[in-house]
Amino acid sequence: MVLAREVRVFRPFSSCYLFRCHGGDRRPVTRRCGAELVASIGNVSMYLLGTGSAFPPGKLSDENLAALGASYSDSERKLLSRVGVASRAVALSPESLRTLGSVDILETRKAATLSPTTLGLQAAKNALERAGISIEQVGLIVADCGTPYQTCPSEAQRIAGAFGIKIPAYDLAIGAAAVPMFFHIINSWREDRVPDYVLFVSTNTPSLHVRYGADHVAAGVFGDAAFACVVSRRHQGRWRVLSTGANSHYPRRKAVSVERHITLSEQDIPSTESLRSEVASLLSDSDLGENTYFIGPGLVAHEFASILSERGVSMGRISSTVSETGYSLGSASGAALVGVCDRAASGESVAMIHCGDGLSAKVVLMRS
Amino acid sequence: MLHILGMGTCHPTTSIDNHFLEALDVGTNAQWIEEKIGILSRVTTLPVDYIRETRNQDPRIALEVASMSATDLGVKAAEEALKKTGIQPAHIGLVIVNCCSPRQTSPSEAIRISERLGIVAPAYDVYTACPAFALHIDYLRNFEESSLPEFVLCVSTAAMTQHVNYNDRSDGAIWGDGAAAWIVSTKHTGRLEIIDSTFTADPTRCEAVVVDSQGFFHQDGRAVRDFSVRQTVRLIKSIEEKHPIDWNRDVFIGHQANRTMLDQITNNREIPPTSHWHNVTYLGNQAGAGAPASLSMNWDKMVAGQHIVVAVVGAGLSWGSIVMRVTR
Repeated sequence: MVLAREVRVFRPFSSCYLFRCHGGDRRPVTRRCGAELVASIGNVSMYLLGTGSAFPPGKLSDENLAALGASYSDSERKLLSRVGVASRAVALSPESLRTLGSVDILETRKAATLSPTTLGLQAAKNALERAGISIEQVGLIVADCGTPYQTCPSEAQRIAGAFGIKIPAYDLAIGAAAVPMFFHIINSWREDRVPDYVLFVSTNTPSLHVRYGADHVAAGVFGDAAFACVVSRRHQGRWRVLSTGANSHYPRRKAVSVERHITLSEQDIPSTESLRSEVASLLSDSDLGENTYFIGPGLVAHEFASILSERGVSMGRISSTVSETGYSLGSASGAALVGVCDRAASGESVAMIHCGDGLSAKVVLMRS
Repeated sequence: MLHILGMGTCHPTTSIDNHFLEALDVGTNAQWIEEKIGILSRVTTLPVDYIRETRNQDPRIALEVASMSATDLGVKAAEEALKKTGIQPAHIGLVIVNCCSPRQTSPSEAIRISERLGIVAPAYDVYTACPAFALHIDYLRNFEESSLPEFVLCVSTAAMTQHVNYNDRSDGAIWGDGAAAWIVSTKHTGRLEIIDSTFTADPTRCEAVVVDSQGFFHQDGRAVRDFSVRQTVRLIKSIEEKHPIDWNRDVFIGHQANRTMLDQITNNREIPPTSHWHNVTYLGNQAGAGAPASLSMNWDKMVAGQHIVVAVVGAGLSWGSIVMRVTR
């Protein structure tokens, strides 16, 4: 397919330049803007073939949290309102939540209904089915997981092992920006180095690290989810990648830390001001019109939607699963993408931006 | 073409020898360790009194008492690589890290290390444990050269002794701690030019080597040992078939799992001792840091025109190789 038009690509913040993309001419641009590395790539030959998500069956409502003794200060309420979670999908039963409290993570794992690996495997199977390909056709599995049971082998290798296949598999542990960064990375590779089909999985079970009954904010924010997708540089799919980009604008990098327990650092969450700037930059992209769906940073999902809405974007065009399932780190934006893929019509596009863990990344896709 | 511009390492200063392990009275002795795995001592971030008194029965306490974390080791190694190359942190445009013993599983080890170094650039983990040196090089070779920044910092760091059950007579003898860092570029030439690389895996055997994020290392020792020797020999053979390797001039570096395994490999491929660089004998198995650390420690011995052949294997199960040529 030949694209004979000008493609305006991700122009993060201070940088502002056009990237011309004609036909198969790939011209990645890497340049420094002050202290930031900015890399944007226009692309005419990367496709999204299928997406899948998975959530644990356990539900944790605000009422359940209140029963666990949750109460919030004004500043905590403000933080929670930026996320906008009403219900969470968690890998723990209500009984476990009551009895485990803030006990040891190893005990919590024993009570869990599933692990990040089983959740990721489920999402991967869904993505493969929707893509219409078998696992044997996949040439590379890449995974992102911020809550692994084991730090060795990698999550990707555990998922590949569960499939029973012998192929290269390794982790790209990126965090909040995992999904758009994955697109950007694969889009930056030489075509001859990319296998026919690449399976990406982002799976996270932060609920297993929450001190329920003690850390009420974390209890209110986090839920579990997995996202998977199949992409190809050679085989056409329903979704064509229009552009990808990444930069390191955000100096604050530790909004979410996972050790034995999960902690939120409010000062490291993107500020309202920076989010407004991000949205303004996004909306100035001439590629995005009324037929665009938007997916934003899950940790400020509600605020992102509000800012877009103020700018005249219909709420029906803003996709997020965070209010129903909680914030699941890098998996959250992917889970929202699955919903868009289900309902978007031909010619419609989706712009996914994410900021956090030191990265700002974006991918724009169009349904063909 | 990808080039390695310079490297750095960091190892803790505390060393434990085989007699120390024998004194733990867990069914081993110094002679058995030397004969079986060929490791004479290993370095650790743990205090020796802590190991002696607790055998590290709760690895989560190890994190509290350790003299250095995997992040600390990685930062020091990176600082050395930056110093040796004369590159400022501000010039690094991407940081990728491998770590199988992170204190936190989120954010990534790369973010912790880059933040400590004052690097404002994309940073994330590219992870497969022991064969990380090959993975990182092979991963970077995937990119269009123009889409890579001027300088990329790679780090492989491991504080595996913090995950060792010292009541296990084998595990305690194997592991050491350490980190290696290397700076690569496609836009500047360095002393090492990357000619070839591979990385692949057989995840159906991924349970053979396991590190619990909150617990112990565990492996199926015999299966892993057999796999390691067989696969490394295969990797070297395929490199010998493809490249003009002369073991009287060129150098082999393997995964620093244990010395007897490396000796089996070099005997099979008739690689003379002078062409075999290793550090496992006195540092122990430093997971993904062992092989690059070995190269870094021998950096000044490199001779122009020489090939450096790296063949590494490990958890996953995964394996990979790098063929480099010394440019000057």
